Amino acid sequence: MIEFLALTGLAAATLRVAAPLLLASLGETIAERGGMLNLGLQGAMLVGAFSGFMGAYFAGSLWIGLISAIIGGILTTLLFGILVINLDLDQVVSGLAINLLASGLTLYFTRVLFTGGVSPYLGELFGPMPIPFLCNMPVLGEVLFTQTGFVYLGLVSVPLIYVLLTKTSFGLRLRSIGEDPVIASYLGINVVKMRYAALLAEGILAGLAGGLLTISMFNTFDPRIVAARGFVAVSIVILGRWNPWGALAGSLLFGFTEALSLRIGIIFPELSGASINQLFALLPYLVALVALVVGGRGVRGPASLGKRIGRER
Amino acid sequence: MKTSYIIGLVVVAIIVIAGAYYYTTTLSPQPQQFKVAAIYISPLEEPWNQALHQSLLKAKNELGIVYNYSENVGDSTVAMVMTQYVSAGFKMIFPHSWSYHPVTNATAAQYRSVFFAQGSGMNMNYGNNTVLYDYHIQEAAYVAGAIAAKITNTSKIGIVTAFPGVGDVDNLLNGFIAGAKSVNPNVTIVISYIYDWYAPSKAKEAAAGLIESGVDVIYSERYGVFEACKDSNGKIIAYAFGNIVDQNNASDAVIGSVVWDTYPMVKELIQRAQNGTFIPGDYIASMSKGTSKFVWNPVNAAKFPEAKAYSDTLVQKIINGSVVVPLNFGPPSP
Repeated sequence: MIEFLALTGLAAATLRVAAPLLLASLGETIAERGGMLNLGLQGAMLVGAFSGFMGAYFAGSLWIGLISAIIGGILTTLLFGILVINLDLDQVVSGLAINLLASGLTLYFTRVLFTGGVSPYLGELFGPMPIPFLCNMPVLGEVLFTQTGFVYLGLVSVPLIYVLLTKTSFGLRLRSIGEDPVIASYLGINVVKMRYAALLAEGILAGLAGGLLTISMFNTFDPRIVAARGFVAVSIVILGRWNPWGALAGSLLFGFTEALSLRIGIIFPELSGASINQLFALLPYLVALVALVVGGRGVRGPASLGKRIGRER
Repeated sequence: MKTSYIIGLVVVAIIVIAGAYYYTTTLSPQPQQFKVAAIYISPLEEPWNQALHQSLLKAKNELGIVYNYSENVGDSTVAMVMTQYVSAGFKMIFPHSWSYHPVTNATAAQYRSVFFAQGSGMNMNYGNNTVLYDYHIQEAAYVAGAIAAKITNTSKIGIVTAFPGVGDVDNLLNGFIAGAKSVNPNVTIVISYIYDWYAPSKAKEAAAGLIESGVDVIYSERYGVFEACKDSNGKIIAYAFGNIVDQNNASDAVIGSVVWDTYPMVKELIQRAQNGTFIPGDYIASMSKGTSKFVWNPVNAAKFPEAKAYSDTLVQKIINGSVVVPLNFGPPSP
């Protein structure tokens, strides 16, 4: 019975750990389907985490924090848009530059805004919001229906974005741009507008993914708060083959292995501190590698991904 | 004009204005003051850095020194940063990371008129100008352990920490465990390693796992535990202890913090350097010097009067020497 309870806790933890990765990788999926490889996702998450915290702290409201996290994410991805859509600069270099800019600016403003240079604590956080009735179900109630709003939002977004990308004319146009923006523009599709729309969606999701870290998971801003989640999310998009369901599977894989590595020592105390823990921490990368080698051969992403459009447009 | 030129012009203008501002505010000549610098390997937010940074800010106000710092300085660039501070006229430098110690040794030998206070390390050549300090706050951790054993209802205590086999950290865990066992030898202690120095999400999940397994008091050696200590209704389901810096205002689930107060040390080192009585060698933290402290969260001190009274007596005993908490860098055995 104890083992069973531990498994329920593990499943719930998997979703909690996966949530920021899921939101970010869904956003990146949309952008990459439009032919934009946005490595600045990491920076967008950092700005989201920063602006989310600042909004929540200075306005004294978590909801304002949530809105400012989204705005921060959007501003960062739109800056990426200016660089790669308007100025037609290299996508990889632009994304990396945005990451450097984001880490520099957020650090600078944190140091300037607070005495002692360090963010204070928020008084409250977005905690779990149990869904009435459903949360009383055995097992599923705890795993699926006693989570934070961010987890629900991520899970609900998966089918919505899938439908958006595959069953709507917006999705069809976006994907055709991702394959060949020049031909798409000959067919009368407004490439600039469509790409900005995709970046807007990515900005919202990346802002939420970052904001989650400072107004729901933890109650202060630290320049290291995002860790490498932005880059992990980019790799999840590839692992998930540019498909929202794939992004869900990839995020859950990373969430599960991390949650497991943190709980294995509790479920089996004799393993606490044993080197097998390090092996578990390595597991998601190992599984990702194996999945790419086994299932990724012959799979290709959007043809124009990472390429400049050029001047003929 | 093309958009790119406008953007370029704006960027150049910003750089020029920022540079001029920096020059007039920072680089302009200042009156002769004792200049102290600290070099940190990670961001200021790291509690280990906070413990020194806050004291040096206090020293700036109370002792009238100049205080500058560099953060995120990697091992490959620390030598350059250190000599830059020396050539800028800084008289005392705190290289505040274990991995800096070889560079400190070399630089201190080169500049004997500058004082160096190395934050943790080994094999130091103290010369006439070098001090080695570390956060030996196992006495405060012992008090926290005793309080944990007093307030637990399940007789199950947890520890969330970074990596196994780090002597300085194990010293604190050993102090905490010894304190808990001094109150109740049969208490169960579970250590959860997160394999990361900074990962609040991992610490939070590790704490959630501990709480689900029946733990109701946790020593939060790393950041992130407090956020797991409340259920979805905001009810406290476990209590926790902060570490290194006072984290009592982070949450009302915090019983108190195991604090490394470096101010008495910083003050003594600066004053001795100024009046020529600097003593090179090791500086050991302790409760009797006031550099190792257990600080109660007032909210919970009122809630647990018995544990509070017990800990007050224990602190007195540690200060007068009737309870000794030895340094113990070996692996913890809960």
